[in-house]
Parts: sequence; C-alpha cells; structure tokens
Amino acid sequence: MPRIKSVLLAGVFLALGAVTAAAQDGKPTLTVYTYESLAGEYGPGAKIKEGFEAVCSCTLAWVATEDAGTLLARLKLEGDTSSADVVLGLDTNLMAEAKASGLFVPHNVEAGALDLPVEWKDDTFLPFDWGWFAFVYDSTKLANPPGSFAELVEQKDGPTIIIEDPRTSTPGLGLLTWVQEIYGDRSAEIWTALKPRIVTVTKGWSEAYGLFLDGEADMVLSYTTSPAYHISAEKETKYKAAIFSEGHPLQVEVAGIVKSSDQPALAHQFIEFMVGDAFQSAIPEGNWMYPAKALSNGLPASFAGLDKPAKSFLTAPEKLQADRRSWIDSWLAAISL
Amino acid sequence: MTPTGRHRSAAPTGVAGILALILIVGIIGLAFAGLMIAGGTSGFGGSWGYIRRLVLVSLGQAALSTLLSLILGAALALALARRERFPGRSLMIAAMNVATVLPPIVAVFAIVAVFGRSGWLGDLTASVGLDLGSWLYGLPGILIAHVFFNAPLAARSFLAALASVTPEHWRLASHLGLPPATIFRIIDRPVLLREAPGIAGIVFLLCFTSFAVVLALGGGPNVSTLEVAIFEALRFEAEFARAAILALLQIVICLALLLPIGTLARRPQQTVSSGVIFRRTDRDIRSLRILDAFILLAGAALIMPPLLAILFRGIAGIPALVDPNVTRAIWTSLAIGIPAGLIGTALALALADLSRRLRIGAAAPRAADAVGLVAIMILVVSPMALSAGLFIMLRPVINPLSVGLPLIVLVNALMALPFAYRQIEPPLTLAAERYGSLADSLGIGGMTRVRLIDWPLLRRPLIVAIAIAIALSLGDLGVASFFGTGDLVTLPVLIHRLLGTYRMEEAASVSLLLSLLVLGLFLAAQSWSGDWIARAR
Repeated sequence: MPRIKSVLLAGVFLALGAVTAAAQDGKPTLTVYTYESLAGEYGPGAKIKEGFEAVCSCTLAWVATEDAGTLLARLKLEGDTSSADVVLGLDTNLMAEAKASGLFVPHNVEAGALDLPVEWKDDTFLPFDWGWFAFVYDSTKLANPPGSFAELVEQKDGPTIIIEDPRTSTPGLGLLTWVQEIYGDRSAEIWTALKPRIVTVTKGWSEAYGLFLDGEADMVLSYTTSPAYHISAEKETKYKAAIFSEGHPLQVEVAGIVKSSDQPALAHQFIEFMVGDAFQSAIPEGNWMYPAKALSNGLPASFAGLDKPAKSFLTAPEKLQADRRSWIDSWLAAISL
Repeated sequence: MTPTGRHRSAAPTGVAGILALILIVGIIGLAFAGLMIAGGTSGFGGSWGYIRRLVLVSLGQAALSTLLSLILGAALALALARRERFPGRSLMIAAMNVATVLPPIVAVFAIVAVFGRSGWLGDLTASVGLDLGSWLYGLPGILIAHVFFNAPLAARSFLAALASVTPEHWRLASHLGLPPATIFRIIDRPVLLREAPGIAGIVFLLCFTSFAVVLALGGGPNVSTLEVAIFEALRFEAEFARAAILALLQIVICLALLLPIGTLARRPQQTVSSGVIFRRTDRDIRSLRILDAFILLAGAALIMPPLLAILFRGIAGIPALVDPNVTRAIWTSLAIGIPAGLIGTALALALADLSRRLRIGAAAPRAADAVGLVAIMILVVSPMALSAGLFIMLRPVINPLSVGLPLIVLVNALMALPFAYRQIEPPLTLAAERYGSLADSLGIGGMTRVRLIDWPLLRRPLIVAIAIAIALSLGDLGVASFFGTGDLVTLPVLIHRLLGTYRMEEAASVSLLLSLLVLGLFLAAQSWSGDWIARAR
C-alpha cells in the first residue's frame, strides 16, 4: 500500500498546486467564466490570457464549464455571490434567459463598428465571434449537394444527415430556428419529410461531427467555417459547407459583465480588450468562428476561400425564449413515431 | 446457524456502516434540498405527456437491454468458470472490465467504428455488394451498446458467485458422477438465480439512466431517457425545481421497480465448508467444450472489436501525446480517481458489513436488503442533479472553486460505490454464513476474526472492487466538468475539449490512453489478487 499512498499524495498535491498557483503573486485577479473548448489548451484561451495579462497587470483566471448551457446554469446557481467578473461564451439562444436573470450590468463599451451580418444593438451583451450554421459535406463523396433547404427536403433519396438534439445542444436549436424561419407553421411537415434521412440526433456537436467524419452520413449540421479547420490543420480541402439560397441562421457568441463583480474596472477593460485586434485575431483559427470585429491583417488564409451565405437569420432572443418549448414539442411530435 | 448467533467481533458494531448510510442519504438529501431551494416556487412547469413517453420508452429499452446482458453475462460466466485456462483468459476478463467503465462517448465512437455504415462490418458487407445502410441507429445500436457495457459487468458478478460454490458440492458431484445437465440444474442454476436479481437491478438502472449513448445511437428523439429531460432542465433552462422533480421521479420509478425484484432475491442458506479445493467436474465434457468455445467466441466478438477499434483509431496519434497537457491530465485523473475509488470502496465495505450484520447477526434480511438498495440507488441519482444540488448547498459555506477537487472526489466515490458494493457484499455475507457460528463458538473475534474468516474470501473481490471504483472515476466526465475549473483537466475532460475543437484524432489517442490506463489497472488488480478461478487450482 505505501506505494499507492505516495502516488496518491503526489497526485493530489500536483493538482492542488496547479489550482492555487495562479493566485499568489499579489496582482488582482479577473475571473472569466467560459466553456471548455474556448478556455482549453486547444482553443483561443491561452492566447487571450497571455494578451490580456500583458496589458492589465492582473491575472486572468479561466473557470470553464462543459458547455455554454452549463455556464448559465452555474451562474444562476451562484447568483449574487458569484466569483465571476465576466462571462464569455453565452450565445443568442441563452441571451434572453441570461438577461432575465438580472445578473449582468450594461457593458458601456464603445465597440465601434462590429463586423456582423446583422445590426447589433444589445447594451448588456457584446459579441466576440459569430458563425453561420450549415450542413457540411465531403465533396469527394457528395458531388451535388443541395443548393437550398427546399432541395434538401424534396430530394427523397437525397443526402443522409446527422443533426444535434435541440433539447441538449445549441446547433440543434439553431437548426430548429432555421426551419422555423423559412417554413413557419409548415415546420412540422418539413421535419416529417426530412425524418427518413436523419441518421441520428446526437447530444452535442462533437458526437455529430465525429460520426460524420467517420462516414456515418453524407452531411452534418455544423458551421460554414468548419472547412477552415481541415484546410488549416490538415491541408484538406474536400470538406465544404452547403450554401442554401434561403439563407442561414447565425450563432452570435457574446460576453457580459457580471453585476456582482468585485473588479468592475478590470471587467470593463477586458470587454474593451475583447473587441481589439489581440483578442479577435485568436478567434478564427482558435474557435473556428468569424471574429466580431474586422482584423487589421484580414482573415487567415484558411478562411479566405470559404463560401458565404447571401442571407442571414437571427431569431430574436426574446422570441426564442418564448417559443422554444412549443417548437421543440412540435419537432418531437413530427420526428417521433 | 442460530438466529440468536451474534457477532462477538467486538469493536464498532456496524457503526461504520450506519455512518456511511447517513453520509449517503444525507448527501443525496442535501443535494435535492439544494435544487428545490434554488428552484424556489417555480414548480414543475413541464409537460407530463412528454415525461410519460420518455419513461415508457426508457422502460422498454432498459428491460430488453437488461435481459440480453444477463443472458450473455451468465453464459460467459459459465464458460469462463468451466474453462479455467486458455490463452488470453486473463486478458479477456480485463478487457471485459474495461468495456464496463469506458466513457460513453468513447464507446459510441468505438461501436460505430465496428458496426457503423462505414465501419468494419459495413466495409465487409460492402465488399460483397451488400449495403446495410444505417441499420445501427435505433434499437439495435442502443442494445449493442448496452450489452457491450453490461454483459461483462453481469459476467463478472456471476463468475465471482460461481467461484464461491463450496468445494463439497463439486466433490459430491464427482462421487455421484452427475451429468452436466444435472450439475447445471442443482449447482450452477441456484447460484445464477441467487445473483440475478441484484445484477439485473444494477444493469437495469444503468440502462434506464443512460444518456449520451442512447441519443447518439438511438437514431432520433423517440428513444431518449429521463436523464435527457433533467439535462435540459438543468443546463438549458436553468429550471432547478424541475430538474429536482424529474430526478426524484426517476428515483421513485426505479424504487417501485426494484422493490419487488429485491423480494425475489432469496438467499439460500450456506453451509459450513472445509475450504478444501475441488475442481469443477464438468470441465472435460466434449459437448460443453464446444459450447463454451462458441460462447467465448460470441462474447469476444461483441466485446473485442470495439476495444480493438479504440486501439486502431488511437495508436497512430500516441507519439504526439508527449505533451505536458496530457501528462497533467493523467495526474489529475489519478488524483481524483484513486482517492475516489478508495473512498467509494471503503463506503461500500462499511455498508456491506452493516448489511451482513443485519442479515445474520440481527436476522433481519429485509433491513439488510434495504441497505443494499440504498447502495444501488445511488445509480439513479442523476450525477448532474447531485453535483448541482451539492454546489448550491455548499456555496454559502465554502467557495466550491477552492474545494472543487475534494467535491469531485466525493461525488465520484458515491458513483463508484454501487459497483464496489456488488463485488464486496456477497463474499462478506458468505464468510459469515459459512464460518460465522463456528467462529462464534470458538470465540474468535476482532481482527483475528477478520483475518481468519473474512479476509480469505474478501481479499480478491476487494482488490477488484477498488480497481473498478478507480476505473469508473477515471472515466467520469460530468461531475468533474460541473465543478471543474480551467485547471482541473482530467483525461475525459481533455477528450471532450479535443472533440470540441475538431481534434478527433487526438481525442481518439487520449481515449486509447485512458483505455490502456484502465486495462493496466485491471491487469494489475487481477495479477495481484490472483485470477478469480485460479485459486481452484
């Protein structure tokens, strides 16, 4: 047993050491709640932290939850006593819910002109990146992808798809609003028509995208920017996003300052930093989304050749909050037997 | 055995067990209170029709999954019990253990790599011009995944039970020259039936609450579980009261199903055994050899290919894993998994001891069953709901960020407890049934009693229980990620992060690393404890 014990103790100290080491140099700490893939060593988190700490004489501490939904749940659980100063990574699907919680204060940041396909007016939340949801396919296997949502629906023996569940994932909810924006009251029949070609409905984006890469379906619900990853990291150009003539739904990712923050000035500084070049340049090839503000050096090469939709949808957060349940119920009814 | 026969094993008479019971019930109660408080007066506010459909569908798939897992598990256990030596036996048992503890997302990708449209099976059938299409998604996929996870679990418990048959039975069977069918009927079948309700309970609960697997392989939302609704309430709507009500509903339904099963589990009284070793007499029968070979091949055909798929998918990227992030994730995982496994096993031991005292010392089998039920009920407490509830209650007292690690360890320990309990309770009770009154009459008590009576039967299951508990905690994602800070990155969290940033190949390599770590753990545990049946040499 002694060997096990020493291994155990070593492990505990190592992990505890890692947790506490961050907060010992006397500088103020800005605590930013975000989701894992953003903060993690494989997202833009490290670059953002480095960039901000270079200008703030403070320590930036990430607190990462599994996904954006958990982020809001955790914040609501903590309420006024939250140690968060800034929340980075909520999206338009969660915004109304987050705003209603009363836990955020207006950011008062003059962001200047944002580079978004839609006008942005919210004074509580400021976007840091955005993307279009789209079906991604392998162009060596699918030669003629549908050019519109209507075409996708009408082709009886058209491509098979993998989608995410709107009850558990943001892209899933994005698809739901997409159908809703195009077809309105006819949405249920659209889902019934699509159903035979839906291979499966996964809990989150990772499973869906992984299954698609493994060849389980012809197309997967992802982002128009997904091909950029394969171009950049794998020098692989065969993955494309199918551009639909009706337009594509937007996902806009936002940040807000927490009302109970004990570092309001630092939080404010962080939001300003967020729409600056140092932060924004970490986004395209870190989070694989479009930056919210045009970069001074332009987008990286991997983004240059990406196809872009001509039209964008953005369902108002309040409308989404009000109708989400009934949309999901009618989706469930249409797609279940 | 006399009803009045009591334990003279002086020191704390079941106190540890009672404390463990209070701790478990207390923590669960605390978590629910927390959720209810956070939910305020918002009430349920959901659709009962939707919930009813979720429950009915879950009951169906869970019942079917359990039935298949138990049949295959029992067949595998019998075959492994009869075949004490064949090349790869240890590896097969260790691999079966690995299958049981894999993180769901790793298992999903592995199963798809084998059975999917573009998997090995799909390629094979395509080469003869047969396109199976997406047959996997739906009930077939769910059943394959659940049997992959749970048939090995059932086999492990059945095998342990078969190995504890008193040698006198086999001596008698040998003297009487009993034919294999009779041996099965009078020796094996009672043992399998005795264990079946307990195993069925644990497997059913696992399938009933299974979440990511059911969604990914279910083919559509018409097969999903209550856990999906809990997730939705907790993470998407932040409706804590609804989450608590759904989590409670899940417990009530499972209790209603398990209580009748519990009363079916009648333990036949065990007799004193001399402990002389006597081998099974049906090992050399030709037809059984063929049957066993068939069963073992069938079991291997289900369990091995997905594990091999993990190997093949991940092996190429292994050299790229020499990375401080990965090293740190291994240490963090061990720092959580090892204490969680040890604490979970200790709690299981305390509960098993209490259950034994109630069953034999106090002649109160009902109370003993109730303790067992508490141990297994932890499985239906949604880990998400549990961590969220605890988080709420602890926050006013301490900063959960600063105690993240101990909290994760505690919740993981609780989650591992039911599995450890299944390993520990049967041999512990058996020891008392066989030798309890003898020890009483000889006045053997205290540590001497533990050493002479309990330890010989308990040693192997205990080591295996610890390995299982540690392995389960190593594979946990949900708990860690709720409490987790940016710095607490375990291997499953790392896999999740890699998957979330398009790095599917690196994720496959870390999955392989995690699987190898767990495999190593089980191989070490097996060699340390001696293989289950090897003692019958």
